[in-house]
Amino acid sequence: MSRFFGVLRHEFNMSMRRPGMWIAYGLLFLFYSVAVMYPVPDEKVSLLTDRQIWQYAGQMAFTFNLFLPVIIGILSADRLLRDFRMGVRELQESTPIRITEYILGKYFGVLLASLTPVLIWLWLITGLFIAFGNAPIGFFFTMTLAFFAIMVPAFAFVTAFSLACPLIMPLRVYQILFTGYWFWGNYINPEMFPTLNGTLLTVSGMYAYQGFFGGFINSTEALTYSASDATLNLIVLGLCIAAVMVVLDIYLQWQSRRA
Amino acid sequence: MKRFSLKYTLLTYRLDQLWFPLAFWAFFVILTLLLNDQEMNFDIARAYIGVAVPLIGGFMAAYAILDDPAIELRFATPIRAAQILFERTVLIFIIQAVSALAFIFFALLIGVDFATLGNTLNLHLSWIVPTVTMIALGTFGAILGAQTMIGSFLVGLVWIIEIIIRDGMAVNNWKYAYIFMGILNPEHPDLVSNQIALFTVSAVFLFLTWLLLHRQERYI
Repeated sequence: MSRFFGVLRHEFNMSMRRPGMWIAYGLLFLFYSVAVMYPVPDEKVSLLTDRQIWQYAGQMAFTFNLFLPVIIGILSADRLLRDFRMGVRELQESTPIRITEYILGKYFGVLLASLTPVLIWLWLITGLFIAFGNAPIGFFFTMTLAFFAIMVPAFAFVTAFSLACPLIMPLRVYQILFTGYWFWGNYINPEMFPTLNGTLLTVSGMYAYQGFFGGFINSTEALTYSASDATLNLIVLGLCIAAVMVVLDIYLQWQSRRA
Repeated sequence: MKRFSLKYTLLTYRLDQLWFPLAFWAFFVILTLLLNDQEMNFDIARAYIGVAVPLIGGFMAAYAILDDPAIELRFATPIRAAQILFERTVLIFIIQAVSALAFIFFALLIGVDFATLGNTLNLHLSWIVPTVTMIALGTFGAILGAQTMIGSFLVGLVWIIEIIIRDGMAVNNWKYAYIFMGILNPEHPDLVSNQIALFTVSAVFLFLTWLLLHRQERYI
């Protein structure tokens, strides 16, 4: 366990020191903060009701999921690959670290480093939202729940694929495919074009947003997904992540035997 | 002629810059043939030439200069910064241009009508403008941050933002930064201003990249 935490801590520290991540987050946090704190002029701002608190928290997390996972998918794509490119992996293989510990340590290190700045920023803007009198104190709790139900699964999903896929294809090819996938697989209307959107493999958080948080505020349309659909969606995404980790483990064991 | 390094560029050329655009082109051709719907054929054609081609160009450009294992040796030779920039970006643009033109040719063969996009000049500007802009952005981002990753995420971020909030991009002053106006909103009254603005921004990005390339110690 100590070896797992050692890899995790090292990866977390390395990822947190990347200027690229902070530049990307800085740009997006600024964009989202302005969008959240300064509503359009004709938009009526009033204190949210109990039901609206859940809907608004879900809406905010769903909106943040539009762009933040794209950044994480692109930036985390070289985390495992660089160990191979820079020859660090050979050194690691001479240590008693097992491949499973190495993979899980890397995965959770990158994931935690991606989520930590987002959670802190989320708490900050939620605090400001409450301080400006737009929501009761309970909004803090629902926003945190929305973060874990909508944003964390998306981040966990893209991080798993971004660690594994560049080992079998050129990095830039993966980044192009991933960026295209994020739009195609999550935001294209399934009635217009064949897409993964609307299936249980949807990562955008729409299932959890509708199933757990009640969908868009003031929407008159019936919800497409229930709480059980949302739970099933999270289970399917979890299984996909586990499958990627297992395949990655097998691949690295095979690589290790070949060396 | 000794300074001419096209041979080096070709010898060290990463083949994925060639096979991936070709594979993507083939994928869109197969998709078009499989779906075989006249209305959808146009949507697929414009999605490929005006949206997919710029994305590929942008990412490839982010890796064009710095993803070279012999970059230190290259900087030690008397090759000018402008020459490095020209060789690397033009090659990427040529591949994207061949892909786009081949797809337009294929689309015309199966009867896709591009009249919605305007005349021939407008049709070609609808993919040239976003492709050049994304190539300039990818190159500039990578050189500014001295990391290929920074160029990559800038391209990815701008692409996904402009695609998802495309309706919002077509209004206010954002319309001048709307990379996909020519392909997604060809009837927009400010299309010409938008194209001039994007070409200017691309020229500025490439000029700044050229300036930054003189400080070779940043990339070693």
